[in-house]
Amino acid sequence: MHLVIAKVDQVFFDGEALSVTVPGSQGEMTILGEHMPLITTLKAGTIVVRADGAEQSMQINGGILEVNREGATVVL
Amino acid sequence: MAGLKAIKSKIRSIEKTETVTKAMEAVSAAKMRKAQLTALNGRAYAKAAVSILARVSGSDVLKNHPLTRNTEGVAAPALYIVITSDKGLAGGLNSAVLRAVQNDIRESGLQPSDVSIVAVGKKANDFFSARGFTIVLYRPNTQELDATLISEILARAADAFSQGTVGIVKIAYQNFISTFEQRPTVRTIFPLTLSELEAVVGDITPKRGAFAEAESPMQAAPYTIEPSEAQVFDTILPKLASIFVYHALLESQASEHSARMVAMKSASDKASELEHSLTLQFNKARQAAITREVSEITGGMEAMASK
Repeated sequence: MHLVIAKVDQVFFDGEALSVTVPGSQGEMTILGEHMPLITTLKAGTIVVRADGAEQSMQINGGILEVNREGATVVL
Repeated sequence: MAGLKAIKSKIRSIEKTETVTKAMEAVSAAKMRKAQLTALNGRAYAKAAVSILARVSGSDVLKNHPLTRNTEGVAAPALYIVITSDKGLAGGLNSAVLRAVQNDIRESGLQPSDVSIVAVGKKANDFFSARGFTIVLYRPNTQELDATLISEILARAADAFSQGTVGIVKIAYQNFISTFEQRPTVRTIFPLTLSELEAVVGDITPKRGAFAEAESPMQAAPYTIEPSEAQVFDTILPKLASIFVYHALLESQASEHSARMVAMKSASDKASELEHSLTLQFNKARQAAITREVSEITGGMEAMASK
């Protein structure tokens, strides 16, 4: 799936990812490809992105996750 | 000869001015490119945030949110965020924005006492404080954009609007269309509307020249919204508003540099034109002096020979 993680003045991730784990407001969740369309707020915590067999993690202070058929977007 | 010396020193001073204007032109070109690239980097974020809003824009919760409620017909003071540059030497760049704001205030039927100003850039501050407007916040328009400037401006505007002290918040800046074309733009931030946001995101991509690109339409889908619409809006609306401020700042920087580049280019052209005509004048004067000297000598010789 296509994943974008961005702040207003900075793009942290923009590309194909296997999965992304986010600290959702209702608990931690992992989004894979073909996930149902969803919009949720995020708590402070760690985002883990798995792409190309490698893991990448980053700290966030909350934000919004949007998942649609084409991919997922995390707006910090 | 005094005339010759005066012309020569004039030529030399114009040459020096030309060197300076040429250097400023080159610097502005580089800075303009940087501002454009930064604006394009922010596009992924802007598009994502706008598409989230577009997909939930039918919601009633959204219409009643303190940052989107319709204030039409309510007589309330207005807040203008005016973005200009700190320095001049950029043609009619700043005066166009300031005039656009003045026209907008006049068209809305507001008195100067009903308008408060958030000034970014020295020119906006000077202009409005000289005309008796209240400046609630002044920040210089610095080269490096930082998130604190955006959140500071936004916090001021959002608080004033959600508490009802102002009925409308507008932002005025120079919109970068192409290197040779900038347009003063006044947009409404609060109440936040989808159409204004889409216009801002559409403006990020220049219509012509480098970085121009076709837009792809967004498609809607039914969403599951967690934990509640109200909480999602509380988080996303300030972020959407920050897109306004961030891109207005970037657009105005790109415009400032491109306007300065064009102004400096015409200054360089004028300088070399002037230098050319002065050189011509210098050569003519020198030739005249030589001719006069020669005729004096031959005249003297004639006078001596006839004796």
